[in-house]
Amino acid sequence: MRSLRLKLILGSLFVLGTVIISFGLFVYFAKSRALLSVMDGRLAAGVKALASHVERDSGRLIFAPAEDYDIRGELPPAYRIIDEQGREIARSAAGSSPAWPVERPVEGRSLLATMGTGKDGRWRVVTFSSRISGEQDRAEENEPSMTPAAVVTIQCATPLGPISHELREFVSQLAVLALAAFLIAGGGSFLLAGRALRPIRRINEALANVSETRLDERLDPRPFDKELHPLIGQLNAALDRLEEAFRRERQFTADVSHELRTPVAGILSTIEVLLRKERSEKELREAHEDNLEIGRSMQSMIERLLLLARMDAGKASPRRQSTPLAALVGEILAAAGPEAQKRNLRLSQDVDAALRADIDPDQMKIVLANLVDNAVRYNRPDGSVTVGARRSPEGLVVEVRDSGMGIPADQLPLVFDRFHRVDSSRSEETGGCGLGLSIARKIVEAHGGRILASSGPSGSVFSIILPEA
Amino acid sequence: MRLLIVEDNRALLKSLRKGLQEEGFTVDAADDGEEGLFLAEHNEYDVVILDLLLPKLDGLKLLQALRRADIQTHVLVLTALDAVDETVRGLNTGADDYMTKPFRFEELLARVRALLRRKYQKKDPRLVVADLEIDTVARNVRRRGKDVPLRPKEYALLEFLAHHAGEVVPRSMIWEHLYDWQDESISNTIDVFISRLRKKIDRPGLPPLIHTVRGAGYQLKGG
Repeated sequence: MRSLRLKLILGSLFVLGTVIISFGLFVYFAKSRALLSVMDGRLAAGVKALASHVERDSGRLIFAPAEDYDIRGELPPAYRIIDEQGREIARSAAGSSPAWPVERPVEGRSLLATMGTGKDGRWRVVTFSSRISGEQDRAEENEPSMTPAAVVTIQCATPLGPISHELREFVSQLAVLALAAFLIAGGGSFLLAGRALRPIRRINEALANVSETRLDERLDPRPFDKELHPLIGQLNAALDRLEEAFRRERQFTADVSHELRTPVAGILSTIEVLLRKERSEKELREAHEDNLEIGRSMQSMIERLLLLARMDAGKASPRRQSTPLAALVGEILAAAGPEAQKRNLRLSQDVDAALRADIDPDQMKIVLANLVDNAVRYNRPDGSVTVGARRSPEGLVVEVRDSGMGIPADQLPLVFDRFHRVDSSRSEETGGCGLGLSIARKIVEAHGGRILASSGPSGSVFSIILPEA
Repeated sequence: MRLLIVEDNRALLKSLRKGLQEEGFTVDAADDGEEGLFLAEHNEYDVVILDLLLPKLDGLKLLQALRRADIQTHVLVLTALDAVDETVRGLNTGADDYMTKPFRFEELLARVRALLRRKYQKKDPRLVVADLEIDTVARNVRRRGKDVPLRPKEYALLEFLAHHAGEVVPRSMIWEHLYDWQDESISNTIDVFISRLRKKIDRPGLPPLIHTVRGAGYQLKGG
């Protein structure tokens, strides 16, 4: 399982480990260099001291520390002095010594080396070449003859053992320190990671409070760090949308049940009243006719609801085909004719006979029939209904224009809502069932278009805008 | 007893009207809010049965207008809006009762009768005047323990008089409460029903209960 906390801890430990190890290495090398340079200094001093006691004696080079001078304090643990031919002039007393390096430095210079043999392990060796000046022969003072200068090589060595020992001890101290730091840091990052993750836990707890029935709960960003505010904002926005969706769903369900209750009440009450006594043939017939009418209007509403549900589920995508618009509009207006005649309305169409649209003719018929039906219902007597179609830069525009009482401005945005009716009526006379415009919008949107309503004192215009491919 | 039904569902309105008329009520009907308000303002109804989702004028607005005009009619709201807050809003706007659709006709009837009892400040569904006993639920009438069969209009008239027992009830008031506003019949129909009632209630040998007060109206009272 992936754990954010574990990742945070491992990440911080990795960084910390790298830092500790680099620091340890740095300190280790610095320390060993320091120790070595102190040692080299001592060796150099030893070499110089030795060199100052090499002299000539009767042509021979000898190592002769002065009688009254105790050189032992300056002598390194091992040394030797050799001449140019490699003959040993002097060497340290008994005890171990390293394998002396053969290489000789330039005169007056010293050469440092670490030799890996000898039974004491590794040695540090300084090799120094020194010129011993020539000397006047003491025997023949009058005729001075100079013995030529000679070069001797002085080598001093110290075993590295003590340094290695000190370094080892230093390393083990460092290791203990590093381990302690690592543990403390591990614990600290465990706590810190917990602390850093606490807001997530708190957000989680707060979200757990938001259930289907308590969707109005929101997260309060104030107790959280400002880095989390955008996250909380997004969560709240998502909750807003969720709540709105739930609210619409509940509203829709409530609306459906209300819409079905009234006709059911009508059927039940008709039958109940009927059954209260013996009825004549005429009364029975009348009651049946009433119930039939209610049943039919319920059926039509249920079919509309099913159509909406199918479209909501994306199961009624338009089957587009090139359709002559004038013929389609003509058909719709012809169907609305009888109803329009009752109200003495003039129906007219303003569509170019050659105009064709790539639409689903059956679905678009539903849309136009609904719009024309509304235009007829909500019109004034002797008014008019005009259906026009034209091409515009935005696409194909189809307009249904009526000369009715218009729609109040505050109702305009709501007319496409399901079950919304301008005068809250549920009457069959003016109303329909309040789903027609929702269905119309759904179909137009499935065609990739939009439907707009505008209204003024001289009537309302519903425009369908279909972008053309 | 005169009722007004304001309901825009034609079939429901029709069946309610028929059912209530058969129970002896005088029923006026309106299928939109404006007409309902007009009728309620211009007639005296014992109970108004009011739908809420109405064309032209919303039911709650109608109710509000009635109450603001200080019209005391008992109002029973009959609606498909069944949420608790809808009920609360309805009652708080001034409704006396609230019923949701669909409903049982029997229950509606019982509630209408309960509202009538409230209107006439009676808890007992029986009305008793001397030895006359009227059961307003079963709608039967007994005098000295013997059933008196009555036609619906006769019963309605008797019940109305019994509600106002001891008072002189003017003919105009009977007219208001017992006749449809479209009713074409002339006012002496009341006299016709009174004389029919007398024949059935005040049989020879019994002390008369129905009295005519000249120039004022009628009175139902015991000896």
